[in-house]
Amino acid sequence: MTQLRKVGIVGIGITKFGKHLEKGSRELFYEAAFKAIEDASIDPKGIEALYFGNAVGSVLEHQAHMGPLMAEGLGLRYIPAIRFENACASSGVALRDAYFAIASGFYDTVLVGGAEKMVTEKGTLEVTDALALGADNLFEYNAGLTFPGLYATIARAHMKKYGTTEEQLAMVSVKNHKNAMDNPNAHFHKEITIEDALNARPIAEPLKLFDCCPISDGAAAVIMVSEKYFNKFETPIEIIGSGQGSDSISLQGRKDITRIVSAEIAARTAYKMAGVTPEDIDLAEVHDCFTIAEIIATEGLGFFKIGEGGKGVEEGETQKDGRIPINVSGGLKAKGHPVGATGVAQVVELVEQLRGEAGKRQVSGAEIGLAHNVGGSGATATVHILRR
Amino acid sequence: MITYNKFIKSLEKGDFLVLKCKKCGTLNLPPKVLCQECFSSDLELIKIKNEGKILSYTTIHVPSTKFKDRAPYTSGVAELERGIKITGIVLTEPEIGKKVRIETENGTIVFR
Repeated sequence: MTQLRKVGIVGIGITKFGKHLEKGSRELFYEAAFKAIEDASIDPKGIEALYFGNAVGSVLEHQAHMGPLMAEGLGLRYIPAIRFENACASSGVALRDAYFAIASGFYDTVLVGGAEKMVTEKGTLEVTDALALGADNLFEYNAGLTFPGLYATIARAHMKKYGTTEEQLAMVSVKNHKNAMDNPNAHFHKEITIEDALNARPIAEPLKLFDCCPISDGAAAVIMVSEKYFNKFETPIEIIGSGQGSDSISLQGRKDITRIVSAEIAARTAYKMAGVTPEDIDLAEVHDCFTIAEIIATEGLGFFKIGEGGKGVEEGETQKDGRIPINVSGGLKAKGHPVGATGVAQVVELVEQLRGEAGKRQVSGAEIGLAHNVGGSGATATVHILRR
Repeated sequence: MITYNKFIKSLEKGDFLVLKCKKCGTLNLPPKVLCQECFSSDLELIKIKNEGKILSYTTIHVPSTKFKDRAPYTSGVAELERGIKITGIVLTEPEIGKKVRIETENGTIVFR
């Protein structure tokens, strides 16, 4: 590989996640991006390109072509502005491409982010349909599978193969709801018990209401700069590893439906590039769109052996004060999952943590963090590793 | 190339079509232009038994629009011979490992 330039994150911005009745994706993104620009204290005139992630705006907002739309409100209307769509990994993918553009020497300052408007006058049916766009329309949507249905199918297979239990799934949800209590931007500020999770109504068996992330609005943004400007900032957070992988869009096309191989590939690439191992990671934000997804994520990232992620959460290893804190932000489960914003929102959390500015959520002494963003039921995954 | 529509139409007649790689023998679910294992384009259309075993399943209570009048219903993935997997609506009592026939019902793949 040719020599890559260093890339740092020097500004972060995020909206509250939840229901924003008065705001669409443009107002949400303008807010997050403006905060990122202010946080970096840069002149927006210096921003050379916008990399923007959004998944379902074409359907839920009847709005595509969002790159220039998002640039316009920020006074950035002449720069290259691109929308990335890779289902729920849209902004993870946007961040990775922005990384390439800076590391290769093409740009020195870019704005990266994502937004999603999901709470509309449309109901659960329409949102379910919109999210199903990230699955295989011909083979999966036509066979009645919804997004919860896909992960429920994965969950049942994982339970059968490894003995993962509904209680362990519930423990993921309880932990993430507890973590979100300390996150002012989280969708939910409500602790739940294992009984609440186990007794909730079924969505797609064996997954119940509290196994599923909510339908949230929100946006997140970061300012990324090259090594040219790196040292002008007080606490630049360096991106030391970036990986991405793909797999069959459908479960039926995969070799083993209890694993998300795209994320395992992304992790291997990112670890190798960063020169670190899973033991070096101080905290991770992982894609827990459903509780089973967190368990499989922690296995695929190498924090637990394959099949032992359920035991890991049961033994408290993924708690904030555990061996490997997972989703101290509350995760997608309780922080919320405005899908196109999620990949960058995870990175915003890591930057706060690595700067030591995460308040009550702070993982003490955090130096290296990892973000794991998945699109669909695992057809796309990105992993980014950041260092203070 | 065998299209999705042709695949479904054949299944309606009871024929489960797959693309067998002449080079490595892997079975590939249509539509594909290259073997998923060895990249060979030398693929031969063959019929396999439309029988498999349920690999996993879920009973869906919150449906998509297309199936809104059907909920709750069960969808699942079945494994046929030599690793071929297919998704369908499960019309029999679901159980992992249970033998099912892969059929269609108004163009939708179902397991009976």
